[in-house]
Amino acid sequence: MVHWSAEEKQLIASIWSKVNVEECGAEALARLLIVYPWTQRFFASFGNLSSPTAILGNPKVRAHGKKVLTSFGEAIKNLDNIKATYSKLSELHCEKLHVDPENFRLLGDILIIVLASHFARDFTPACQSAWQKLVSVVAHALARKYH
Amino acid sequence: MVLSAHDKTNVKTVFSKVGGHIEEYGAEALERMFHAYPQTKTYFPHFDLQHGSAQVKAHGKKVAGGLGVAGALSKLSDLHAQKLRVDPVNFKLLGHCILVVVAIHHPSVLTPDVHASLDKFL
Repeated sequence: MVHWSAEEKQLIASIWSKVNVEECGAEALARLLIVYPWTQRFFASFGNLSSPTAILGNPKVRAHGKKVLTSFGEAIKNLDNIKATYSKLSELHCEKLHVDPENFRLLGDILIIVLASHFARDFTPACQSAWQKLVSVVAHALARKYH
Repeated sequence: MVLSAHDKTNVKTVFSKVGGHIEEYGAEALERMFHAYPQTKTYFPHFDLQHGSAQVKAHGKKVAGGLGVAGALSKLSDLHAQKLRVDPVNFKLLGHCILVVVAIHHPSVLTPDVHASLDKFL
């Protein structure tokens, strides 16, 4: 079980309470597809991904980004049991979606950059550390049921 | 990774917008890296790593300087590999922290397109 200090929990919660899940989720997923174009391989059915503009405006990307970040919210509500929270999603990403777990780490780092751009100086080094730990734990939990 | 002409333009834009702050950002990126990835501190047992450390500021200045000079990277690569023996995974961690610092101080410069170019460069 991962140990979270009171400070880490507070830093995570205080940022999360101000996050616009739809906007941040959409932006994070769009940036993943733009900065690491090979990740587009998982989204062939999403339509036009031909340019950064197309990706940013793509309604399926936006909707999926919102879904992914909403799921993150579940982890934040259950910091003490992220493994269980993501158990089914882990199986899904392995057995049905065939996503290389490295992509979870990439998306986690992109999310950090999106948060940094929105929160600026409020995203202190301590804040960043807490969030880096969170994205790492989430990525690990998503990879856990791979076989 | 090969940088296209477009990537190079994007990277130059970032450097010009960052301007005189580049040394300060180098130091901030290092501080964030030490905080988020404590294992990176193992390469600096001889440094004072507290917030505001003069040694971190000086090293941040060096790192920022190294990024700006085209020919320097190959020599720096040799130095870090052979003399300093830094595991290359750590450069990715620092690169990520540099992106975070740019996002914090110049969010409007770090459009997704520029982000992609800067990520490749780093």
